[in-house]
Amino acid sequence: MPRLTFPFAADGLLVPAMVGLATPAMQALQARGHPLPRLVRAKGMLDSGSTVTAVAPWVLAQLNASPGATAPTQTASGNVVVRMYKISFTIHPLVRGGPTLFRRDWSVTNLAKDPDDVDILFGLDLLHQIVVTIDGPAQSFTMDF
Amino acid sequence: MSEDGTDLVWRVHQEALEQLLQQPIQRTPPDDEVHLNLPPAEPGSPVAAEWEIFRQEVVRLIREGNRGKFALVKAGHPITVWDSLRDAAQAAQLLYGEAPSMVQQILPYLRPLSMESYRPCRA
Repeated sequence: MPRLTFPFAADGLLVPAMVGLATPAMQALQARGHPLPRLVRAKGMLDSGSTVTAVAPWVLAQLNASPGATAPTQTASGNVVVRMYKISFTIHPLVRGGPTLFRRDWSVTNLAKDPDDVDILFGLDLLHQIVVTIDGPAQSFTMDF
Repeated sequence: MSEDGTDLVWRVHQEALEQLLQQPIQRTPPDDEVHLNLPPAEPGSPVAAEWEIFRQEVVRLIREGNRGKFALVKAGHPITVWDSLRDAAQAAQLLYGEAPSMVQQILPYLRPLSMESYRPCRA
């Protein structure tokens, strides 16, 4: 089983990620002869408090991602309406040669605003598919998938 | 033969990853690149003086390797640094009793509590 290991930073379970458009959007651009947008380097965080993976607005804007359906969301500061998007992403090791966790058509919501410390919150939707082992005293965690 | 969408997305990610990992990855920003994003104290806050001291000292504290630890701040006293929120709160009680003091995690920004405000509804 492939394994990624990361430091368990003071800021949380942070993972380096690259985010791109999903298959249909990339295919459509290619079919029209348009250039594909560059993938966005994003600071990800594993977050069991989020049901669905959520992406900062600046990332979605940079990809020019098209919003899909709206969904009501209950937050600590009240109810808000978010949009659904489809993206692709890779969670990659910090150095060359390790495995990568890749998903090509992943449903996400937008975050209400751009947080300072994170660009994409990987929620329970991803956590249900992988094994995360946290070693607090050793300040590291692993993802097996 | 034309490339199907599955191959296309995989290839785009692999190429970007290859490019990315050829560059050295900077795990932490250099000392001189700590970007502060801390608002001024709220008017009338009982710990306004402590907050301003924290804002002035946070870059130094980060450069000294204290990022993520907890600062105990009391105006007129030296800042002390603790490994956990619990330790800092205990120290505050022991050192300052009921007098106002401030415990703040040493980060260059204000972190939303557990990002709960972004939590999508399970219903």
